[in-house]
This record gives sequence, C-alpha cells and structure tokens, in this order.
Amino acid sequence: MVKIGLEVHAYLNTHTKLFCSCSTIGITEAVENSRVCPTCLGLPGSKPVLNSSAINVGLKIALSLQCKLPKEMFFSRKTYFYPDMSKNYQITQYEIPIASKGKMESADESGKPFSVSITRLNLEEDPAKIEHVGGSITEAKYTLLDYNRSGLPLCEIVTDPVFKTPRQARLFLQNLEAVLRYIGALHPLFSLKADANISVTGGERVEVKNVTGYREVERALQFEIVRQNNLVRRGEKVERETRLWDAQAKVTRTMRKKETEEDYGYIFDPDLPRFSISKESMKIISKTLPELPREKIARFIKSGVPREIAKSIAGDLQLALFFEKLKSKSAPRWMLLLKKTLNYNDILVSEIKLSPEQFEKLIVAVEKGELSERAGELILREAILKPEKLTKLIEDNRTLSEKELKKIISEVIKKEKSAAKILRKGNRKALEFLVGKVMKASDRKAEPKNVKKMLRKL
Amino acid sequence: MWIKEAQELDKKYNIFITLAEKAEGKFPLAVKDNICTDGLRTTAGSKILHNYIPPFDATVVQRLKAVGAAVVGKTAMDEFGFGTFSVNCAYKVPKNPLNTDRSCGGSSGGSAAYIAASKHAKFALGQSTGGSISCPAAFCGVVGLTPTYGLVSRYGLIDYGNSLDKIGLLAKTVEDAAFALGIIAGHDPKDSTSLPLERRGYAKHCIPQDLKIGVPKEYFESVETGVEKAVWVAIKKLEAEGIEYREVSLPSTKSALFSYYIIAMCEASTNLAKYCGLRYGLSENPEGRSFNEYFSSVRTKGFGQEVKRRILMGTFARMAGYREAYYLKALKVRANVIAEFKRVLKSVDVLAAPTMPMIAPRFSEIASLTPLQHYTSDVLTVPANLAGLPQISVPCGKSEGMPVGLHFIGNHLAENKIISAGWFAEKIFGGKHG
Amino acid sequence: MITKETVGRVAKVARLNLTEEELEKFSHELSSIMEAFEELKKAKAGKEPAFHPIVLRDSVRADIAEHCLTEDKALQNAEQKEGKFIKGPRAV
Repeated sequence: MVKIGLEVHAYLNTHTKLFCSCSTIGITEAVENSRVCPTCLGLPGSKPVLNSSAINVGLKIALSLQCKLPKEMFFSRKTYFYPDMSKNYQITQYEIPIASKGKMESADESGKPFSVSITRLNLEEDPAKIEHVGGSITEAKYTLLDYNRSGLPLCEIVTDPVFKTPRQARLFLQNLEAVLRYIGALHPLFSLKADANISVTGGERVEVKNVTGYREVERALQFEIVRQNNLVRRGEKVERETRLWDAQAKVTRTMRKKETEEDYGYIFDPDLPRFSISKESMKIISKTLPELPREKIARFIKSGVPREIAKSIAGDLQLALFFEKLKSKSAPRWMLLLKKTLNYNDILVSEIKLSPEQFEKLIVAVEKGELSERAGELILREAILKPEKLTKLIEDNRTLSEKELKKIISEVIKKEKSAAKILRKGNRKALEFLVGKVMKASDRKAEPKNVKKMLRKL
Repeated sequence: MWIKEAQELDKKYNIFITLAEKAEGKFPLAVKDNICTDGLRTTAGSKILHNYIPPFDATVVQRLKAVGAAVVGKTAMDEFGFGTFSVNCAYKVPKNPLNTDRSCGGSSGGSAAYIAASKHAKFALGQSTGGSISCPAAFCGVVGLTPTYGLVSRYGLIDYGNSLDKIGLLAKTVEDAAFALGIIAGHDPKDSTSLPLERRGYAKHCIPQDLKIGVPKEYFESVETGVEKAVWVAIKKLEAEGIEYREVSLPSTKSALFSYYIIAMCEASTNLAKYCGLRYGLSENPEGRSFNEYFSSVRTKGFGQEVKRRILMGTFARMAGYREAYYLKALKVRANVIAEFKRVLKSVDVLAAPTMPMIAPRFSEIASLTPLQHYTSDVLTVPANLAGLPQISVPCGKSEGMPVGLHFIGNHLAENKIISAGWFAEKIFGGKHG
Repeated sequence: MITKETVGRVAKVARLNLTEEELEKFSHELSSIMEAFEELKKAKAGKEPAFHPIVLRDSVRADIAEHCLTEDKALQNAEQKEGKFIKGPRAV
C-alpha cells in the first residue's frame, strides 16, 4: 500500500507582495533585485504589513475547497537558516492558519471520482530565487540571489495522505491548478509548486522536494515507490528523511535525515497583530466566486447526467468547462471516453487542441449513424491533438449507405455460394463468416450490426 | 557648534558610536544607535553591523527631521540593547558624566549621558525593551519617558523583542520629553503594531492634576538603603504638597521578570537570525563554502558574548520539548501581569516607585556580577515594560552623591497622568522648573 | 541543568560555533539562569497567551504598489555581490 500526501504552493494573484508594497506584476521578467524594499530584503528595522488582498484570495481558496474557517488567525515565525531566506525565518502560519479541514472533488486515472481531504491552508511568504554557480546544488561553488521573489504571497495547501498512486497525485495537481485559475486565485505567471510525502507499507514517511512540474512529481514518486519497495523487500529500513529530486539523473537523493531536521522553534510573529475573519466578509467573497465544481456536479445531475459521470467530469474542472459547451444527448458518455483517451495517451486537458464544437461534430456523426461507434473512438484519438484532420477522418470513415451495403452483400453472396446456402438454414457460424467477409469487402466501413441484420433477411 | 560639542563630549564620555559630519537644523538630536538613520551608519551597537548604512529613516527620525531636527550622532548602547549598564558594548563603553568611574546605565546609555552633559540638546531618542530608557535616565539624573506600547512607531527600529520594544525619550525636563512625544507619537501605517491614534500634543499635560498614587510594596524589597530613603523622602514631599499615596501590592513582580526575559530572548533569537553575512553587515568570501559553515563563521565573529548567551537561551526556550513550558507559559504569565496592573490601576491613577534598586554602579562592581545578577537588577522596570505601560523617570534626590530616579507608571495610554505627575514632582524636587 | 551537549545542540541550531571553554561556561551560566527561571512554572498565569501588551487586530494595507528601492540602494550594503545579484554560500 502506498500513501502519498502533497504540500502545494500556489502564488496568489495579488498586485503586491504579502508584507510589503513591491509590485508582483510581470515579476518573472523584472531585472534582478529591482523589486525589493527593506521589508522583503530583511533589512534591519523593516517591518511587515499584511496585504489585505492576500487574505481575500486565501479565503476564496478556502471557500472553494470547502474549508473550515477560524474566527481569527495569526502568523508565526518559522526559524531556519538557508541562503534564500531574507530573515532566516519565514512568516507563515502554525497554530491557527487561515483555513483547515477542507476537501476537493477529484477523479482517479480510471475516471472514478474521489474526494481529496485538505488538511490546512497557510498564508506564507516565498523565499528569494537561488542560482547555483559552478555545479549542481550540492557541488556549486557559490550561489547568486535574486530577492524579487522574496515575499511573494503563497498559499500552502496541505492534503491528507490520500493518494494511492503517483498518477492520482498528478491528476489532482492539474485539477487544483485549473480550479485556482478559474476562481482567479492563482498568479498568472506561475503554476503550482509541490512537495510530496510518500510511504509504503513497512516504511517511514519520506519527503520529496525540489520537484518542478506535475509530470516530474509523478516521476519522482514512481522512483520513490520502487526505491522504498526494494528496501522493504531486502529487509532494510526506509528511514524518515527529506530527499531532493534530481530531474536530470531522474533519482532522489538524501537531503537531510530526521536527526538533522531543523528545529523551527515557532513563535508568534510579534510584528503582526491578529486578523479576524468575519462572516460578513465571507459573504462578500463568496459572491465573487464563479460556479464551483461541486455546484456543477449538482447541476449536471439535475440535468440528467448520471451521478458517477457527473462527478467524474466535474472532478476535472477543465473537462467540466469543456463539457458545458456540448449539447448532444450522448455527450456525457463521450466525455468519459475523452477522459480515458487522454489518460491512456498521457495527454493533459490543457493540451487538447480539439474544440468543443469540433468534438460535438464527431458526436453528432455517431449519433446519426454516419460513423460507427468504433470509428468515432478511433477518430477521437487522432483528432485530440490534430483537429484539422477531423473533417477528412469523418468523411473517410463514414458508414456505408443501405444501397452501397446491399451491393457489397450481393457480391459476397455470389462468391460464397455454399456459405449462403447454409446461412439460409439458420447456421450461426455461416453468419459470422459472411459478416467477416462483408466487413472486409467494405473496407470495415460497414456497421457489423447492420450487416448482420441484412444477412438474416436474405 | 552642535557637532563640536558632541565631539568634545564623546572624547570625555564615549557617548557616540558614529558622529554625523554636519548637523544643520533647528535643534540637535542624538539618536540611539538601534534607530535607523538614512545614510548615517547604524550598528545597534554590534560589530555584525559595523558597516551598515540604512537606506531609509525610522519614522520617528523622519518626523523629528520634518520639524527641524539635526542628527548629531548615533549613541552608544549595549549590543542590540542587551544590557542594563551599557557595558555589553562592541564599541567604546560610555561613562556617566556625573562620575566617570560609574555606568551611565543601559541600554540607552549614550543618549542619557548626552542629555546629562550637553548644553544645547533638550531631548534625545532612546528605546526601551525592559527598562532601557528609565534606567539610564535614573543613573544620569535626567528625565526618561517610555510611552505605551504601540503609541510610537517602531518602523526603523532594529528589533530586540518586538512585542516589548518602545521608542521613547531622554530629556532635560518633563516638558521637553512631553513636547517631543507629541512629535513622534501617532499612528504609522508602516508598523502593524502601531495604535490607530491621531497625533496630538502632550506638553499641555504639564499641569497639576488631582492624582491618586499607589506605592507597590514589592518594589522596595531589594532596594539599596540610600535609594529607598531618597524615594520615601520624595513621596513624603509629594504628600506634603497634597498628593496622597497609598500602598498597593503587585505580587507577580518576580514572575514578570522571568516571563519578560523568556519572551524577550525568544523574540530576539529569531530577530538576530537575519545576521548571517548576506546583503549587509559583516561578511566573508562565500566561495567554496557551505551555508551552515559560512553562517556560523560570520555569526560567531560578529556577535559578542551577551548576544550569544541570549541567542542560546532564546533558541532553547522555543525548541520542541521546551516551548510549552517556557515560551507559551511566559506569554500566559504576561497576561496575568497585565491583568494585575490593570486591577491596581483602577484604584489609583499612577504607581510610584524607585526606578532602579541602586544608584549608578562603578564599573568595577559591574565586572563582578553574574549574568543572572545583571538580569535581576531590572526587576523594577521590567514588569511595566512587559505590560506595555507608559512610564516616566524623574530625578528625585541623591544617594552617595549620585542621582536617584522616581518612577511613575500609568495605565495604557495614560501618558497625560504620568506626565502631570512627573512634571509636578520635578517642580517639587527642584528640577529645571519652578 | 543544561548540559554541554544541550548547549552544543542549541548552538548548532542557532549557527554559532562555541569553543570547549565557551560550552563549559554557557552550560554553567545557562543552568543557573534557567534554574531561577524554573519559578515561571509555578507562576500565576492567564488563560490565554498575551502576544502583545495591548490587543491588536486587523492592521492591513491596501494592495497598491509603491516604489521599491532603487537598485543602488538595494545593494548598497552588500559586500558580496556579482552583477545585480547578491552572492552567497553553497546551499547544501
């Protein structure tokens, strides 16, 4: 049994940093150390002042993840030394964070919906950007620091260890990003960053850091499962430790063992007061939120979509938004098919080139009987990334008209006289044999069901 | 003229860590060296900041400059404010202008010595975490005004214990202190712990008020006989002038001392983490070195013994396993201390007590004190500081030829009452007024 | 009692190098200080911790950008720099 939990960091969509008035607009393109002030540089005498938007965006996330909210929250100092830290303590949340105990609807690789429990949300500041000069992180001669990123507002989203496979973790990250963008909480220049913790039966929990990209999260976790299972199989211990993912070598390496873990020595940040979270402000914020996935599920079910399919579709927000543009009756079923195809071919929803309108065209062709179900599926596989081929593919795979089919059947029967004779006596094997022949002669454009029907009538 | 005097006084008493090159304005201003001054070196009394030039003014400095202050220099102090006698100095140790064999008190020692000795300056900026304004004021025979926590912006103050730190004044007279408070007090959006109060004048409170005084009996327990006598004489003089007193009790006085030191050291140990040889301050060539080794090397060289001692204790008291018993307990004890003061201050307007349990000690006496004895000598100033209450120390007499301070403590934001009490006492005891 | 080993562990967390004599001295001093501070355990306490002397709440700022430091001011105190970067030690 594998247990995976995630610590996700989302850059909040605010104009300024968390505790100072340095702009975050276009921050990734700014000249090094040009978006800094005494506060985010950690200069002596500087003081933090909380950005009111950061609370509001944090609360938006909390609401969309159905979290419990405290009456008031406060910030703590997490003290540890690292070159990218401006004060060697991070202002974050410890005892009473902005929100806790939430959940998000997600779906696993087979499209089966499941609910991801959220442990807590913390508002916290980002450290500086660090470059390693003269080698990898472990071999560098020195580091170069750019404090533009120092103090950017982050929301740390911690999940319970609910994921059973690396793929589930990755799907959740994709979906979470979609949700956060959809509610306007995520800074347009950033995607999510994630650290993971993972344990296998018989081993301790291992943290994996330094992973960029959702695919890499999946890879790093796959590597860890193999590594940890091998240790367990050999009767060795899986120790509690923090490991770094080396994306080039595609391995994880020990960063620090449990006994050398930092003692963060949390204290309340005495530079900041308490912050109240009032019911009135929550009402105002909830009004600014668009329709959330769980509300979509309810609406889909009401409109006749089977419950499991509704959950599976809305378990991925981008799919739900795609689905909302389709009108055909069989669209829900086709969405499941689309999801399966994406997963099978390792394609992200965001990578889909096929527009909902084009997808609709394909679905309608099948509904009208112009395409066989099977042909429709095959066309979908190809058209997801190459929608420009769609029209030709539909044309080429169109099922035969009755007249065309009759012609082929009569030709086959002329050739296969003996089989046709037995068929008329009701022989099943002969029927199958002839269906096969007709399919072959029609270049597989005939619908087997129709062929059978027509042969029986002979 | 002001610079020349400052240079002369510095030669005699080691008052300044850094002197300004020129000072032009309406009045001279000495600033404690943990308060940032744009373009003028600010070290907080530490070698680790030996080369630090702030790129901004502290709010208090900005407000005083706006009304004509000319900064003459940055005054000597215990490193990061960690001391009672201004002897934990990385630079020169300041001397008491009344007797150079004796301490001028700490940690705002340089500012107090300057006010005691200068002919031109009426007030200087000091700062108190646990008594660092009142103590040197008492030892140097000047007025020390510590405002309510949050009344004066801390923006630009190099932190010691952020939930305790208050910028205040050393002054020739109560009226000078009250006048200056009117300039520096009032809300500052750059300090989240600054109270949402508008700026207003305080000198108008230099008038007699009908005040009831409480004398806490616990505040005489370990006081030198000469100091005790001088303070009682002063209280009796006030009584003769119609200001009645009654004895009150503050049983949490001693636990306040421990609570204070735990909170101050815990906060300080996190504040001082930022000094590591990056961005500013003492540094070395980082090439080819791991961060742990590099940070440890710079910090070990840059911090003095007392700083190391307090970092160790503060780090210890917030570590897993001890945090609950020390840090969290200290915060709860503080809640009780505040409640106790508030209860007593319902029945009296201000409390009066000796500022310090001794007169300014000789350097030779200080040298034989253990660290714990240093800490316990703050027992009279710490409780009010822990509770964030406003205080004023005024000279009330002498013992062995050295000044004795009388301390008035008021309720939160009752600056009007302590100013009135201090002003009246000053008049009676033959201060600059009257 | 705060042993030399404990002082050593704390010093490591605080990134301070202590000599053998300092370990000895601090172990001694810290023990006597913390022993006196033991009284804190018996001290009368309030129910809730007092973060500040006065209850402070909800001091926030509007999400409006203001001027940052100019580049020369931002780096004016850094002795260790390279181009527009601050230079630091290896991160492991």
